[in-house]
Amino acid sequence: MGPARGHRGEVAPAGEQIARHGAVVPPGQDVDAGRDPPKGRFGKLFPGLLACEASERAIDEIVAWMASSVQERVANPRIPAGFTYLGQFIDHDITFDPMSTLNANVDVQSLVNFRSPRFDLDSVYGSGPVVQPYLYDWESEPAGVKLLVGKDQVDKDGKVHKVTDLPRNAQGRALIGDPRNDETAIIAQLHLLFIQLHNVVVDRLWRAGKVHKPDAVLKAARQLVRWHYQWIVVHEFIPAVVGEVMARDVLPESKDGSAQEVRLKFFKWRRHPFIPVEFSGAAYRFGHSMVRSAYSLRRPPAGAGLTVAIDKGVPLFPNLAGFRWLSEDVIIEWDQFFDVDGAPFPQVSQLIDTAIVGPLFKLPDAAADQESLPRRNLERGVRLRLPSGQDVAAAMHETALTEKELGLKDMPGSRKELKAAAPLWYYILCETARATGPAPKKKKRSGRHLGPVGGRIVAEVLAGLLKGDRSSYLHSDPPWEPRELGTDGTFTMADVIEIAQGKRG
Amino acid sequence: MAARPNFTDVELDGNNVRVFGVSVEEDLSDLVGIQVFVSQPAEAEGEPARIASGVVPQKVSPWSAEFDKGDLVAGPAVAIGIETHSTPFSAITWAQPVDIEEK
Repeated sequence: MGPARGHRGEVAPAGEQIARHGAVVPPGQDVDAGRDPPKGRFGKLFPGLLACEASERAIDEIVAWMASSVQERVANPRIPAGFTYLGQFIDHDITFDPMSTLNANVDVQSLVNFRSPRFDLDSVYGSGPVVQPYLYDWESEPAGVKLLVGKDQVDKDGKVHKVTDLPRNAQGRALIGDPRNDETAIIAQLHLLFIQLHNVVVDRLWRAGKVHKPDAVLKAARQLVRWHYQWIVVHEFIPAVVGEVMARDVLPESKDGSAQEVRLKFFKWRRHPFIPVEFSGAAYRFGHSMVRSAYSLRRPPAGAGLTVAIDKGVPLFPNLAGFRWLSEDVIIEWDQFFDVDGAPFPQVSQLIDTAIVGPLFKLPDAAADQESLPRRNLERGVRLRLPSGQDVAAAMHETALTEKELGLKDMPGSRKELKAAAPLWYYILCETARATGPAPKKKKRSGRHLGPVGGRIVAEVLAGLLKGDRSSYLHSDPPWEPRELGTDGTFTMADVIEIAQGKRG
Repeated sequence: MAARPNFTDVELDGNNVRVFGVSVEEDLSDLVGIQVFVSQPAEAEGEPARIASGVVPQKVSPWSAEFDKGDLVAGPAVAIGIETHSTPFSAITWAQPVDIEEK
């Protein structure tokens, strides 16, 4: 299957296109010509449900419980550590709300999503080479088609940074489509990996000579990268975080096995999909519980016995904090973060549960009242007027969690309140205890994936956004399988790594 | 909080066994290494017990180790860990019944 197939989902450009920010783009040059308007809206999955008015005392007690040393911070053997940051990368691709604050209630309908609610990698591609030319490489062939990679960059003090990095200005700020993808050295390098994947795909298309015009190469490459990334979301990310059973329920194979179906019970829209605040403000924040406090970035040399070299591990903060030049000591070997053939299983994420690691309670460079991420999540949920977990569970016909499952014995001051109405984010983290359920003989450890409420919200919104995007493979070519980059109908993050890093021709 | 160090999961994947565990994060700065053993009784009387062992390659918690499973099978087992520190030079050993799961 040749790359030309990648054009199926695109609508041919017609006449002048007005790009975001009002720039006039000549015909044929706007990389997103003919697509839906780039911005999106937020909305609600359950508009009829009342807001959960969590009291300050309840929030205090939940935060204290999450930070408590009583909580076990345990590895999740099912989810490699890289999925935490892949999840964040996906989030930054589909949502960006810089406007809502923690200081006032928010009218959800008035919120603007500054990202397109599509898996289109606008965080990587920006608005294209005409509107954001600084994201593109104008010195390699074909000009303005590859994305810029930072190499031998010079900072404001004249120091040369040899490490391959995101492109940065002299002050070290990344020149990328979404500033949040520089928040940590891990997501910055994941962003870089997708830049490199795009550039390899461009090279392949250009060398193959089947596509001759630079803008056609860009379109074909961008579409191939997007569709392969979407495949990862559907086939690797969603099953990992919501569990195979929920993934199959929302994304069943067609009866004849020829196409991927999408079955949505709760996520409905009129014209274009939107981002439900129950997803962005609560359910999708499950990834915060997967964060480790330290990471092993490189695999130590092979050895045996206690003489083996041991990787010391690197603390997330301050060592892996972002918005700065990458240094040699934070360069990642990706087989430590994703399951790559031939390498030992990578370090894993933490269980999806209410145990949050210490560094997330004291974020660097945050104002004193915003340094606790769990507190911010809970307060944002109140401002967004999110419904309680119990009400959402009832709307989904799921049995509500018990007092014990909500851990309320450790929250005496707000036990009664939370038993009736627990903040949705907290509820979803508690609910993972039900995800695996009791084994025949012995109760298995919970938290390996999301439970029925959180899992359904996450699976339906991610799958729904893909189905509603007329340029996605799920909408425009559901039987499509990834073969153009040399894979045999499957594609995983391991393939991204190997292709982007030139380990596979 | 459960006792630490501690095994949290043991599972088989192909020819390998993966052992997951936690240590006291604050005490990892002088860690020399963690060695783990997983044992099941002999299949037949007179034969040696089935034992596989490996080394944790990171100084982070939670941690994991992956090594050849030998003759281990899914089911009950006993795991033993040795966590060695340099300051002072000392070792913590612990033994724990575990259930080996098939991935």
